[in-house]
This record gives sequence, structure tokens and C-alpha cells, in this order.
Amino acid sequence: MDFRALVIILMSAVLVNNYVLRQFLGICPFLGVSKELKNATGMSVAVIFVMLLATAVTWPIQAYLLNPNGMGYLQTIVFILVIAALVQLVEITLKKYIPALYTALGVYLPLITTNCAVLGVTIANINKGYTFIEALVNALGSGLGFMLAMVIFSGVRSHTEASDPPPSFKGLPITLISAAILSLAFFGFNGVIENLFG
Amino acid sequence: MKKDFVLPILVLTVICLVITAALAITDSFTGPVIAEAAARRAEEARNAIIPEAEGFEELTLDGLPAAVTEVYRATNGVGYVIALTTAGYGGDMKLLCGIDPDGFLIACRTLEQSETKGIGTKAIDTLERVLPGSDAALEGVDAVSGATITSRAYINAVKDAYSAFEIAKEAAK
Amino acid sequence: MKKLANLTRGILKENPVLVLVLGTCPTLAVSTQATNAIGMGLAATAVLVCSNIAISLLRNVIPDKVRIPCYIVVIAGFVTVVQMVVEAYAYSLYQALGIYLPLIVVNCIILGRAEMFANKNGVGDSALDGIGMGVGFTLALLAMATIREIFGNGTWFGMAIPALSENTISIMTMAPGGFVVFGLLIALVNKLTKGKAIKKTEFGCEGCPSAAACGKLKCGEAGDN
Repeated sequence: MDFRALVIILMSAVLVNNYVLRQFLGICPFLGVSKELKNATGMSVAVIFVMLLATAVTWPIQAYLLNPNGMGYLQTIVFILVIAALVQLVEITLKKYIPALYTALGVYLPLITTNCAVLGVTIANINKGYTFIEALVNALGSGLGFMLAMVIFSGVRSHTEASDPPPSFKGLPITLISAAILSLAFFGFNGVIENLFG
Repeated sequence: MKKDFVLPILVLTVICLVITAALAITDSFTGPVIAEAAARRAEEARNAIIPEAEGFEELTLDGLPAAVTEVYRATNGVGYVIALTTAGYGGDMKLLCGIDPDGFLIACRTLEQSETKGIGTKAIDTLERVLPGSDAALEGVDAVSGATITSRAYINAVKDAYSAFEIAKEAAK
Repeated sequence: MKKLANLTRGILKENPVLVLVLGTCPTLAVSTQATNAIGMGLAATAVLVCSNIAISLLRNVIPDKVRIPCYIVVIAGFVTVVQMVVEAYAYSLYQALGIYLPLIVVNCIILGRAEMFANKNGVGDSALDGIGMGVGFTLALLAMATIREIFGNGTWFGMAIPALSENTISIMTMAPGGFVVFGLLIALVNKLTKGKAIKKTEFGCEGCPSAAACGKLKCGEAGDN
């Protein structure tokens, strides 16, 4: 396992193949929770946490339980159940042992069960044939990419909220169009990683 | 109180079991169809690489490079097709390389890849245009700038295909 | 008459994508080509109709406490069946949809209809609701894909369109194009209905399938997925 390959996976997940802006995963929280910086960061930290945890659990399940028994077809159902159970478990644990963290992240946790970015990253890790370490790095990178998009976009939102677009564009349409411009800006990272580390 | 806990868990478990059983049954129907279709696609892909071949036989060889997954020989001796899996920029890349008995590359095709659209994929297109006709030295084949990781992975895979070809030729003697 | 309303509601008045603004991820992701849009729409419709029927049948059996996990398991089961069938009989579609095929599980239209309609209504009505919502989803996807494929690729269902195929705006098939076209379509619906149609000008709690789970959140503070 060479370190360079891991850096490439991490950086490309954050910048080039950004989950929100490039692959359209996790659009709902991206549009819904990005109004304030505080909520955007809280949601992102919760997503990073659950992504890492979910990958750490689902990867071994696929590699050591489903694949050897020829039950690869149970992937979708097992993964979503594992994620749902994990989220519940994390919620209960945080509530009991780390109440401070629970107050900060607790409200976002239930929303994550049906967040397609979390299920997406666990399935993508299997599809891309990553090793366990690579899968974890990819999960971290995807989560960080989600956070980056959320934080930047909350800054953009604070301006669009104050602006005065044509009435038909008020609310969601103008938000989507600013998201398009942000997504366009991320095209600038194309090839950067390959040239830096290639 | 106890019943409040038992019933929901029981219902959930029963639903899980029923669904799993239903999936196992569906899989027993679709599984063979999927496998058959995959085998047919692989056959078609090999024929597309070397259209002159009448058929292919899979060879079992030792000491192959790690990237090589399968080696096929055209039954009428017009060449070899080597299947490879290598790590590209966005995950695993699966490709086929056809080499004629004199050691010249006939064609290369990617079967599966998740490279960056418009950058890595362009590099693959360029390489697949440039590669045919070259020999093991791969003269004039360079990494495509801007997509060095993708193209290096591809070129290294082609080199592995040559090693597999040499091993296959050696074994045939 | 009520039966007809159950069917048609999802197509226009409560179109899941353009009016309820649910299922945005697949809408943006697979609407690059009209054929993919139809494929995705049909796959999601099949899951939606089946899960609506199953959940409606089981609505008196499933205890309230575990209803969300039960719905998820039922939906995931149908999604896997669809996945296997598509892989076996429509492999090119399977490749085109990629990871978005298993992600139908978390398409909030499906969980949303289970929670809001199927667990309160009979089997027939739930099936009609599923068909209506599925057709609405498919039509919205097709509208997006038509715009993006024609301008971005110069084709429609793969057929080249004269003049446009030589002057493509390739950004339309890429990520920013998806956001722009979706924004413009919603703005158009706003304009046509004078701002009355869109139930959610913001991402609020109404129509959110996770609303039950996130009762602690104040409406409008967090979105759904």
C-alpha cells in the first residue's frame, strides 16, 4: 500500500469527484441544511462520522460474509440496514455518554439514514474494488468533500437569501442556479490532482 | 411491557427473513441469466479485439503479472487476448489486449473504468488509437498530459499483457 | 372519481419532482440522456408500485415503532429484485444507471409515499398512487433529460438532431447543467402557476419522509433526503 495512492484517492474524492457537486449524492441536505454555517458544519461532521463508521462495518461484511457465501445480491438490503442500525446506535451512545456532542450532532443523525451519500459511498467502495484502507480513505475524502461543498455553499446562500431575484426564481430555483455556478467552479480542479501527484 | 418489545422485533425479523428468501429465489432465476450474459459479452469483446479468430481457449499459466486475470489463445493461432484488471485513477480499470503471434499489438479495449469523464476517458481514447501496431518496446507511446495516472496505469497494464504473452508463447513451445 | 384523483395527482398537481421537490439526487444525476431517464423512471415506478402495495397490505401488521425500518427493508427488497432483473435483461441500462440503481432505496419519493399514503390507504388506492407518482417522476426526468440531451449532446433518444448536433453545449450534460436546468424548470412551474404550485419554496418539513424521525427539528431548519 503506497501512501501516494491514498493521497490521490483522498484528494480526488474531496475536489474532483465531489459527491455533492459532481455526483449528485446528498443533494437534499446540501440544499436543505446549508442556510446557516452552524447547521452546515454540524450536518457535515455527522455525515463524515457515519460515512467512516458505515464503511468500517460494511466493507468487512461484503468481503468476509456476503462474497464468500455467494450472497452478493443482499448488498443493498444489508448495507441500508447496517447504516440505519449504526445511526440509531450512535445516537443512543452519544446521548448517554457524550451529551455535549449529542446536542451538537443529535438532530442531524436521523436525517442521515436515508442520505444517499452514505449508502452511495459504501456501495462505491465495493464497486471500485478498494482495499479496506483505501475504502476508509475514500469515505473520509467523500465526507470532507461534502463538508467543503456545504460550508462554501452556506456562504453563497447568505448572499442569495439577501438578494432580490425575479419572483419566479425566489427560493429553490435561485439556490439551484448558484449551486450550478459552484459546481462549475469545481471543474477547475480537473486534472490538478493528476498533475500534482502523477 | 415486554410484549411491546417482542412484537415489533419479531415482525421486523419475519419481514427480513421473507424478503431474504424472496431475493434468494429471484437470484436463482436471474443469476444464471446474468452469468450467461456476462460470458456472452466477454466472448463478443474478445471477438471484437481479434475478429479473425474462430474461437478462443483459456490458458492456465504460472508466473503471470498480478494485473493479468485471464489469457486466451485464438484456436486458429491468429493471436492472444489478455484480460487485465488494474487500478486507475478512479478505481479499478478492466481491459482486454490483443497481441498477434509476432508480438504486435492488435487492439486494446476498456471494458469497465471509472476515470474522470473528459480527462481520463480522453486519455484512454488517445491510447487506444495510438497503441495498435506497436511492439513490446511501446515506442512513441507516452502518457497523455493531464491524465498521467490513468495513462500510466493503462500503459503498465499493456506491458503486463506483453509479459503474459511471452509466458504464453514460452508455454506453447 | 376519487380513484382517478389518486392516479392523476402524482402526475401534475403533486408531481414528486417539480412540485414536492423529492428525489432530487437521481433526477439530477441520470437526466443526461432520455433513455436513461426512462429507464430510471420505470425502475423507480416498479419499486414504488410494489412497495406501496406491500406496505398497504402489511399496514395493520407492522407495529408503529418499527415501521420505518420495515418500510426500508421492503423497499430494499424490491430494489434488489429490480437491480437483478435489469442486470440480467438490460445490461446497458444497468451500466448507465450504475450506483443510482441501488440508491433507489433512499429515493425519498418511495419512502415518502409509504409513510404518507400507503400506510393509511387500501391496496387499490396505494397501487394507483404509486403508478401516478411513478409516472410523474418519469415525466419530470424525461423533461430534464430532453433539455439536457438536446442541447448538451445534440441528440434525443440517441437520434441526432440537425444543426444542434454540430453545436453542442456539452456543459449541459455535466453536473452544472443539471443544476441549471432543474432550477429553470422549477422557476417555470412557479411562473406558470404564479408561485402557487410549489409546495416547498424552501426545503421544509412538509412532504419530508424523515419528518417523523426528526420531530426535534424546527421546520425549515433542516432538510430531508
